[in-house]
Amino acid sequence: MSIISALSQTRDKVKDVKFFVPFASASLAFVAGAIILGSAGVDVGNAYAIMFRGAFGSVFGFGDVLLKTTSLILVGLAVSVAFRCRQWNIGAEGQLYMGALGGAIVGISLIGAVPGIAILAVIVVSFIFGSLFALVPAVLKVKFGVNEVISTVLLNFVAFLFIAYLLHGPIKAPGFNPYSPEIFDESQMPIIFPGTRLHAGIIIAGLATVGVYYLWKSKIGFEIRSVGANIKAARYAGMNVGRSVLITLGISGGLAGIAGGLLVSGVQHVLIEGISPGYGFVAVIIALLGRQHPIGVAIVAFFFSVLMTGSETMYRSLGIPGAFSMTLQALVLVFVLVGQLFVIWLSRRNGRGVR
Amino acid sequence: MAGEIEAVIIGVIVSGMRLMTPVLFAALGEKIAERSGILNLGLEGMMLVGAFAGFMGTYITGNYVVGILMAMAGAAALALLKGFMSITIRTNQLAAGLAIWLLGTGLAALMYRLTFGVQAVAPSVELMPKIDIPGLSTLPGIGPILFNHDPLVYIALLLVPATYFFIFKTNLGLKIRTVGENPKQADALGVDVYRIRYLAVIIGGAMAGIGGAYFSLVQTGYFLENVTGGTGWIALALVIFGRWKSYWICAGAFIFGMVDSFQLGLQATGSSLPFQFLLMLPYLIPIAILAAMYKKAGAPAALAIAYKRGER
Repeated sequence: MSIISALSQTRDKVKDVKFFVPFASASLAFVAGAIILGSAGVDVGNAYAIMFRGAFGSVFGFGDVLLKTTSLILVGLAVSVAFRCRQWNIGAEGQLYMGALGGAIVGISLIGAVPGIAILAVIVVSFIFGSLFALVPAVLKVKFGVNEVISTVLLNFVAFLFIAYLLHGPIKAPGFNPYSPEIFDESQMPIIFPGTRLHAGIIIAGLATVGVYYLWKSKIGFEIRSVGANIKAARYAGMNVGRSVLITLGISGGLAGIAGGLLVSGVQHVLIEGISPGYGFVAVIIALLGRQHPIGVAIVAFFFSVLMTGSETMYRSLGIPGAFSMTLQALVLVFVLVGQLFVIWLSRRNGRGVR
Repeated sequence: MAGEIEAVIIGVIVSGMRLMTPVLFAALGEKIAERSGILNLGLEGMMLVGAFAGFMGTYITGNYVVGILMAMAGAAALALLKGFMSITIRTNQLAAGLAIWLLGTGLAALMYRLTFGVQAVAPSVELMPKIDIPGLSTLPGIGPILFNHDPLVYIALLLVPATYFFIFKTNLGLKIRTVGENPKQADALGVDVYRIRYLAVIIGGAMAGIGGAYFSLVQTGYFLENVTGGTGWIALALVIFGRWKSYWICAGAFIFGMVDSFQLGLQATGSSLPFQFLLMLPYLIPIAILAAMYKKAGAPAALAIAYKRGER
């Protein structure tokens, strides 16, 4: 065997393992989750079986998986776009809520009753609302150097409180509950699969995935990625770094906003305080695991949607708390990050350069 | 009339002292970690685990010391994991911190529900009693503000000079600073960079744990999901505002505590402004403070940069 072929063989082996390690790490996260549940006296095998059945056992359940995938893809893409430019947008949840507000305002106003135009207006306005809310930390960063991690996180709370204020006052529908009035039928996303809650929004999520893929191939996308890869080099090359940051966070917030608009238009048909079960926070994990690639994000979003849908069934039939899915998702991230150690160790053993 | 106004002002300051305590614990701890070069975005998650572990410890044993120790241990365990990811594996420190944040948030809520289930009356502990400092607590003005609190307020205030002394006047503090500014040089001088960083991040985590326990043991008597309400993130803002210096961090925490106390007071007296807008203030103030700090920060040079021995 020649040296060259031997070398290329080890290289292939490392490549195979590199591909395999994240999946093995994710499985270990399930083992860790099982230990936590087991130590609380839960029959783990039964619990995981119920989780699986909840997601895949019925048409309605699988419809819900795809429904949640829609939201998770959009917020996952939102966070990914920002991360690619090294802008750590942890405020997708707040941007989602502002987008939901935009969608609700359209849906209960007169435009919301115009067939055809209404749904388009919901999408556009929810994008704009999310986008404008993300531009606050973007401007603070560019003009005043405010760390965007902290500002985006804290602005989530501001968004929740603002929505709470509106729902208890100006846009509250008559009655006891703090809900907005119901949006017009013309503003509601059509259900695309009878017997489920799956609505046409999944097509928008698909389009967004393709859109982000092509964004990276465009001139603006190249600038954004350059700023993210090496801000000094981008500046020397004459790129307008501040503008890239603004555009990035504008797109990022807009995508999260659409996720919120779709929750109003496709699922709840009213604006409520707890409209998202933390999609914007899970999005951080999705973007990191999906390596900010649109396809990666879509795959992880689907996988996490299975976890979330399944864990709802676990809650209903076994009383296992909803926090389990958040814990499991965070564990997957921790194990995958730690799994990198194994890949580095393996590459080093094979005498290859490590970055 | 003048006496009444004075009483109100003192009341606002007294409650502000209590409101600033958890954020002060977390920020002083984070200062130590960041001085060594470790940026810990997982602070909020560690505080929540501290809030839960502190509650559990006190609920089971009825002893506050045990509760606080458990809070420190629980948060320090997460800090150890954070250290492993950021120091040994050298994964991106921001990613590792965010993972710890979400893991802590999930774990605290999950463990609480697995332990107690859903009960009609939430389990509670008695609030930590106040300890008057004899002779001083009756002084007019200063007495109630400084000397009539629960023990954790005193400890937090003592930690301000203590952490200053630790970082600037002790051998270990010097090592921590060197490791955070120039790990390569520290290594050349025979300082174990990895060990110092582990130590710093674990100290920071344990202090965040106490800050979290303050919510369940002093402020509410319950464990609630997300009881810390973003305090960990506010602490991170205060460390930047304080330019990694104890006294400035304390000043920032004091401003924060006063604003929070003021808005709670306004809510109670029934202001014409909707209470949701008042509740936004504790979140907007740190952002405003950071904006006012424009380009004045001077972070440790090696902050959030992993160190690998022998690498150029």
